[in-house]
Amino acid sequence: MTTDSTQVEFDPNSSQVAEHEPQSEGYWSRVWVTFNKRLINRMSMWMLIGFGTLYIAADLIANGSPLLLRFNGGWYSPWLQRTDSFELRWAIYPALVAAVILVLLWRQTNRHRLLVAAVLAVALTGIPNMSFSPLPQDLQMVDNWRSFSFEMGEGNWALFAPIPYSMDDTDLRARLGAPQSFGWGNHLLGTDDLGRDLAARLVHGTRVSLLVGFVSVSIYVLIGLILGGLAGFYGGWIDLVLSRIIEVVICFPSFFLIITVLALVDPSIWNIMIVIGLTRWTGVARLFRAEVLKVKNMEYIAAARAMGNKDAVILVRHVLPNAIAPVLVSATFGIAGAILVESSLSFLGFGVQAPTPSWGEALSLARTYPYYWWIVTWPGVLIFLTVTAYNLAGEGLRDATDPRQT
Amino acid sequence: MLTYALKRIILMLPTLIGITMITYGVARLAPGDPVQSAMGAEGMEQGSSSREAINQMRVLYGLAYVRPVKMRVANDNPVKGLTQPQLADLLNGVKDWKSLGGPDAQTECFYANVDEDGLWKNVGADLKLTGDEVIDCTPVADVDEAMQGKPGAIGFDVEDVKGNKAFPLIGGGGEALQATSEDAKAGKYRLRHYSDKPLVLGYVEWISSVLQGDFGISTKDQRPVAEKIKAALKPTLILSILSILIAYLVAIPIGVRAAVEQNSFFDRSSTVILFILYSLPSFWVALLGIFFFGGGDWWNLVPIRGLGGEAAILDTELVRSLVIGLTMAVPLPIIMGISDERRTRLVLTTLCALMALALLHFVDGMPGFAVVGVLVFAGITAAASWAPQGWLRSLITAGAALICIAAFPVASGDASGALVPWLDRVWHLLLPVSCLSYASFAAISRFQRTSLLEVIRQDFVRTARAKGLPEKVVVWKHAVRNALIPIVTLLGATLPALVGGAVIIETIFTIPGLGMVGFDAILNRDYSVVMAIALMSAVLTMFGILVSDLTYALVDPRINYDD
Repeated sequence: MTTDSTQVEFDPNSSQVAEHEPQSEGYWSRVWVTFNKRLINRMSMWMLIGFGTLYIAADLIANGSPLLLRFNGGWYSPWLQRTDSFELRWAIYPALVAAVILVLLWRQTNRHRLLVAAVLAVALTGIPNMSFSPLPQDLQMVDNWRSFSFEMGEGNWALFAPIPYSMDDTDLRARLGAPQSFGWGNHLLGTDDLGRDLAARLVHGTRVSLLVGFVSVSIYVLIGLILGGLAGFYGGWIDLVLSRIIEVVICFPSFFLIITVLALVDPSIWNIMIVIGLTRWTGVARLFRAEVLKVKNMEYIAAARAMGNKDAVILVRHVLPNAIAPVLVSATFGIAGAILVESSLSFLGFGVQAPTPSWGEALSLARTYPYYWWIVTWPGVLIFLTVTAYNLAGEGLRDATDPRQT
Repeated sequence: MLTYALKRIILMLPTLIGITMITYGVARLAPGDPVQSAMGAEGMEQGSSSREAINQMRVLYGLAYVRPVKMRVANDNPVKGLTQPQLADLLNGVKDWKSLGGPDAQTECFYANVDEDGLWKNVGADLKLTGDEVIDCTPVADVDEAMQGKPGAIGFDVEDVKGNKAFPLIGGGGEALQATSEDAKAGKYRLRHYSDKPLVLGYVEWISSVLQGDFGISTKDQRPVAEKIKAALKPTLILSILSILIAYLVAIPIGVRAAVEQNSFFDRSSTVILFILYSLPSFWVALLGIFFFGGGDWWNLVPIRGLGGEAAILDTELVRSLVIGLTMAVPLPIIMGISDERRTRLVLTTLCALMALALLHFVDGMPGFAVVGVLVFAGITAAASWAPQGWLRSLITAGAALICIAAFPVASGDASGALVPWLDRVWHLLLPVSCLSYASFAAISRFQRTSLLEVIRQDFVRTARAKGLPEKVVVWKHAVRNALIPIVTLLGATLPALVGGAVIIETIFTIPGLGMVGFDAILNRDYSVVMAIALMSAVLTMFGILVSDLTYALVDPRINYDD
């Protein structure tokens, strides 16, 4: 139902990616410049970087164990030495993914930047391998490092994270405590019904939300690109069949479908991502199909075909780069949507299981305690800020990739 | 146009089959069984009474068959000091009864080990069933007769319809099971989607009962699913129709003004505000609403639970008015004003009236006076479509709408003194409806803005300006009515989608609508209800999309689909 008036202006811009070498000013660098022109876009970028930092460095921001401990002449790191390796994986995976992406983008970046990225990735992944002296017996017994740090005696000191609480440090004496003012060991955002520090839980909850956002969107973008690309490129009965499949999935109320399926499988974070990915790909598929339909009749596709390229090569090397921009925009909005879905799921109790914290799970506590303002407010503020940041970035990206604006 | 419509309708069939196949597949292939899940952790404990209850429910729902068997004594097998439940536990621990062999391995049955006096035999502490215990298998025709022999010599073999598990039961509870089985044989409680037939045959069986409008019963409260859904449909319809109406009424004027004053202060600030609203998670807003307005430390302004009022009468009234409002009273005056072609106007009037009748039939079995109301309304509208001026047609239609809707309470006879409960209902609806509607403000008004901007750039608008028409007339008469077309047709696709969509809001405000009933059913593994809701909203969405596409094609002759 869309009019076709935009395609003529759109394609000369984007086709440069495929036809020119990276040293010329490409389509994406122009998009980047346009994107950066507006203050609100830059703000959304900085917010996203901030949440990314929370994601990677959550252990360094909120941790009940000292990051570094000087005790009777030995150097220790109770955090690293007692951390479940699972917690560290949260930080390592994105670092590795970032490194891989940077390597993939190598041709478009200079070597210097690559070097920095590689060093960063190695440093992040190398942390668990750094060796400290093993914790002595009496230190292994400690379970409240905060009070222990006051009894350690002369010459011993401990370096704590800014929020000296872990996500699962319960303290029933501090149940449902209101936020306290600044001061070491105070609960700045209050505590929940088990006396756990809300700030620590929210910082760690960033991981679930962002991870679900990214991974589930990647899953459905991949599905959508493949199915939409095939339907658009080949047309005919393939298009007919794939369009019917898309139609079937669109008709189901997606949130209802997601909780139905999650009730059947074990609601772990990975299953949540897969289920969200499997139910929400239709938008991308339809979008990409329409883009491919526009692009596939271009002259450069005919040229590529005339040069004897295979269909797969034409699809990946020539069609994909020229039709991907709207998909990326919709993926940015999709991350916001997936984060919302995840928090709704956790809010209803279908999300990640305790003790893993997530924003939605923190907010679900407000159904039991609706009149404790800190429990109602903070998780919602975080969800709102993240969703806004992604939506703003998506909006900015759409304006920047829209040929009518440039 | 006709080719396009036919093509769409034919292509709908495979989609319909796909939808039903997915619905059936998810429920059929679901791991675990509804009874076990419904009983939850209690049932998993090894108490014999709860297992009896489970067995009874399984038989009741047609998940298992019960067959009395005579147990023969195995003299050489010591079963030391085990009580009946303990032995039953032991037997339950054996997964694969077929491998135990016996003379008739195809009949999955088991033998309890009792001596000739009906006492349990002695066994060592580490007894493992080897298969030696199983000696003979004789289905019993008459339980009473067999029971006259030795106590404990009769067991009841409960066999899963899928044939992969056996649920043996020894001793007591058997008679109850037998009685249950008689009920179950009548098929009254049978779960329609659960069957021992292969997937395809089971699907055919299920779809044929669904086509007859028979969704079976809910495992939670034994009520027929159709009845349950009908009851839940009304609150949901009230919520979703009201929130859609409010969303459109607020968003369209904002979109129009933002487009007319493009890049003005109003445009920018409304964009920002709507954007913020769009990003606010609705369940958080609902919680904030409860926190600030629903008692607690702040104001105690609105009730936060339920719908209030005398539910039954009010819901029916409200739903009737809303259905007619949404299908006829709102779109028809707009269509009358917009459309310049009499044939289109007549076709659309007929379409709207048919939709209204279908929905009324669906919602409350189509009372006579409602049909008369719809027909009178449609008649007046059809007559009005001969009027030459758009505004006159709109005016007549809107007047007819008001009269027809106002006539409802009078016709159904409960107009007297109904004001207080109505206000109570409105009061209860304030928070949920605003939580549901605010998020769509942004989407609708942006859509309106974009579509109006596209229209305003076109030649005929410039022509209208050039011939000296006042700006108001140019915008509202020439531009807006063309820009409205895609938005109004969008309604058809939005409404059904909302039916299954209000899960969270309904759960927070404990409104017994489809969302909450569906969520409850999911928690209880009540697949019959889940399937019915999923299927219904999927099919409604499909028809909604079809109707909106067809109307769009009908109203906008510039688009040619016949290629």
